[in-house]
Amino acid sequence: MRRLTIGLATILAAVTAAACSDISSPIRSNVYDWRLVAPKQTGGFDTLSFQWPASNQPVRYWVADTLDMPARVQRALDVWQGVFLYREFRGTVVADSSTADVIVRIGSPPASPGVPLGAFAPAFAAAFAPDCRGATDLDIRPGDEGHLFLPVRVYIEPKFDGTTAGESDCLDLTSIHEIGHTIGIWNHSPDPSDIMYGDPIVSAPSERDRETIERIYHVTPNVVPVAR
Amino acid sequence: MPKSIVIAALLLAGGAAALHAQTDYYMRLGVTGASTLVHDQIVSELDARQSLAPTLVLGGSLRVMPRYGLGLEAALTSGGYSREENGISTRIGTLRTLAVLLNLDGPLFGPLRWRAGVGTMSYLPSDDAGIFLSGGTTRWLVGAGVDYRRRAFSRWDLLASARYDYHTFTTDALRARNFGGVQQISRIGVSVGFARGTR
Ligand SMILES: [Zn+2]
Repeated sequence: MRRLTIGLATILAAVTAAACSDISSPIRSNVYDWRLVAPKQTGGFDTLSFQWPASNQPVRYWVADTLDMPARVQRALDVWQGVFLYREFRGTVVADSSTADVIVRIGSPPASPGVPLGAFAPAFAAAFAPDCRGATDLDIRPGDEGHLFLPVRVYIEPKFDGTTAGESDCLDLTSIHEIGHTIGIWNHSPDPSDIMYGDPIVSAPSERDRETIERIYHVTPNVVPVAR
Repeated sequence: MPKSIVIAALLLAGGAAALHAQTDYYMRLGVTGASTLVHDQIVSELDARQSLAPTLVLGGSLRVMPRYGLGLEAALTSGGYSREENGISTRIGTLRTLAVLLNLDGPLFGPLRWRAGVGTMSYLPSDDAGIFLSGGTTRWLVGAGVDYRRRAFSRWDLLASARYDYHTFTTDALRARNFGGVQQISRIGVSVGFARGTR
């Protein structure tokens, strides 16, 4: 029995020693610039980076209940959440628009979105001719601590009535693209193989999209969300 | 769970019925601490860590020689796990683990007995997300420990135990994201409970 004990101890030691190095993480350098260059009230420009703080999560999305949009937006959220290894972002579709952080509607953005004084409101428009297009309105006040006024508003507009196969695919793709803007990618990729390309043709985030959004949630932001 | 463990469990259960007088059962409650689950660097370095986890241990042992036993032990932990980066810890989910070990045990000195074995370690996350996006994982495990036992009641003994175990960790989600190698994980657990059977 003593031999058996010694044998077992030897196996334990051997197995422990066999694994001589820890896990190695990949180098994530394949990113595009996600930041938004915005004019400052005092002149000049500011480079803005945003992430949803943990205290605001899960981020609440209200989605117009038409053309299966709540399910499409939920799938888009699932796609982006699946990118994160450490659950840096979580979002959920809610029924009450009055408590939502992000409002997703079907249609085109209004001509005058009602921007607070001194704020900057870029709209990321993308022309997905001929099937649909989307836009995300961000009301931002740059500063030492910039403010993003909630709710963020997203508009997705099918070319016709939204029922053709081409339009359905386009609504899915555009949902992922616009949700990408709402979670912090405040710019467009210059590469058509990325979902965040200005006029996207791929249907899912690329490795570069993934590494970019991962990076966003691990750098210090200079914009925080605030209720309007 | 590998077939060998299942077969061992069935043999032990069958043996227990046939050899009741030579069988030992125990139950313990305690806590388990584990080393870093994943070490990563996205911008600065970050760790995914498990919290100290409440632990339930159930086991049985069959005398195979006058002073030695062959046993099966299952340890269930339930706790949280978090990411730690720049001194900030953020909880990211609930994580249960189940370790099943096929053990040998024998006398050390006085009321102390050693116990050592091999088995499997299953990670059972509450959500398929993040590093567990493709679900949990099961890994091989080796472990050893010491039991302190003294008579407490007519048929029950008080049992206090310390355990160390070791396994390596990775998941399908980590491999899919080009993580290489495995994370070495050591765990230490302490627990107290009751045992009944051979003395
Ligand atoms: Zn866009």
